[in-house]
This record gives sequence, structure tokens and C-alpha cells, in this order.
Amino acid sequence: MKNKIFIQTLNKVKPSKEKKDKMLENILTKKTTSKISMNYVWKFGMVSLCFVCSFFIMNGFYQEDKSLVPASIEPRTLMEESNEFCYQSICYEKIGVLKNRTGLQYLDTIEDSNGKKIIYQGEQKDTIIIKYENSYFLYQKIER
Amino acid sequence: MHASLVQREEEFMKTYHTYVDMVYRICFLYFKNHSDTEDIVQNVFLKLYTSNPLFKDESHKKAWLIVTASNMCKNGIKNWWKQNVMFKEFDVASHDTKDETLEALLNLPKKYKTVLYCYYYEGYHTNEIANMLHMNEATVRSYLHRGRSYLRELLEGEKNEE
Repeated sequence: MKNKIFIQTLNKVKPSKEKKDKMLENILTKKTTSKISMNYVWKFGMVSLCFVCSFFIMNGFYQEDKSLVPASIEPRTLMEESNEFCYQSICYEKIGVLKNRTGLQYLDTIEDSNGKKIIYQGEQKDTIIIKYENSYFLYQKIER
Repeated sequence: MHASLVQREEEFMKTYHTYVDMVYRICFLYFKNHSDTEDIVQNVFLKLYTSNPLFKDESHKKAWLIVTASNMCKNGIKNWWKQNVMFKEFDVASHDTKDETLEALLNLPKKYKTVLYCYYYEGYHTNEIANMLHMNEATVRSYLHRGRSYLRELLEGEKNEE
């Protein structure tokens, strides 16, 4: 049973001719501009952004952790070429064999393919003593 | 093959121009705003175009469009924001004053909207609506009764406020 008031009221609700044509064009080109699908685009974008941000944050924390590592446990660089010996980024040159070897201040022990080397502090600040194959050698810092 | 495609497109356009207002009205009852209504109307006709269902006759086609539009709107309106959207956007063409009857219709609970529309606007009988929406005829009559009561309450409430 049709109702006159109902019909009159709903007759006011209709799209304009331009809107009808635009909707038809969208349908025929299969390009619907759905807000629901736009929601998914936004959600996907936000999730991607979160991933990128978390990657950078984690990377930052990792770098910070690395910087907190004390210098003493940094990988030691040992480079020995003939009479030259590098220890903790400082290079030393062999200047002789040590005879008096009492009261040495222990610094470090390094083991490489050639064997075990014990490093002691020399009398002077710029010298070190290395015990190698039961001999003590005096090394002096190379001024470059 | 090309001829059949052209024929299909022509038939689709004819269907579109015949029923676009009807589908638009149904969707507007649910969404209460023009932009969402346009999106759903496009989706309804896109479904008709892509699935290309076989219809027994014109009334079958019309019923398919009513049911599809109603179902798509119910699915689309599940979104929280759309459920809570207020009646703001509608502006009645050539009417400066607010349409109370339309506002009352839009504020009806969504389960009564399609039933009331089919009965009072399209002039379907209760048994036809029951077949179309896969409902019991008694339920349709009950929905009509409750929908009318709601409308009466909404309209009388507005009059009392005035």
C-alpha cells in the first residue's frame, strides 16, 4: 500500500544529473571511489609507517648500545711488521732487548698465530715491554 | 562477441537510468549522507555489471537491486563512524526548511528501513517483501507495525518540542 507522504518525502532524495553521469562513468571504467577502500589504503600506510619508524628506532638503540661498550673490550688491533708493533691504535718500534725485568706493570695479553705476547708498561710513558718467547723487548712509540 | 558486449552495455545503461534513483533512495536511508550513498550506489551497479546475473523478468531485476543495495548498505554501515554519523549533510533541493518526515525516516532503526520503503514507496505486499528479503511474512508485518510506531513517536516528539 503506497503512502503519499512517504513518496513525497523520498522523492526529494535523488542524485543530480551530473552525479548520475559521473557515477555511471565510474562504473563503466570500473573505478569506484569507495571510502571504505580508502580506509584500507590509510590503514596500510599507517602500518607501513610504523614499521619504518620502529626500524629506525631499533637501529638507533642498537647504535647507542654499541657506543656504550667500554674501549678496553674493543677488538684489539695487532699489526706487526718486522720491528713495528701496533697496540690500541698506537704503533711502537722495537729499540732493544730488556735486561732488568723486575717490577713490570702488566697491561695486556695478546695471542696470535705467532704465539702468546704479554705486554707491560715501560718506564717511560711512550714505551712498552713485550714478553715474547721468554724474551723481553723494549718498544718505543713512533712519532709520525 | 563485440555486438553482444555493446548490447550488454546498452542494457546495463538502461537498467542504470531506470533504477539509479531507487537504489540511491535506499542507500541514502541507511547512510544519511550523499558521498557514502554515491559510493555504495556505484558498488551496487558495479556488482550488477560484473556478475551479470540472469533475471526472469523486470520485477526480478528490481527486487535483486533492492536486496543487493540493502545488503551492501548493512555491510557498509557496520563501520563505527558510519553508525554514529549524525544527520547533517542533507539539504532538500528547492526546500529551505528542514524536512521532519525525512529526518524521522532516516532516524528509524535500520532493520525497519527496507521493509517500510518496499511497502510504502514501492507498493509491495507483505508476502512479496517476505519472499524478497527471505523473511517470515509475520515478521514483515511486525516490522511494519513497529516502524510505523517509531515514526509516529519521532514525528509527535518533534511536534511537542515545537
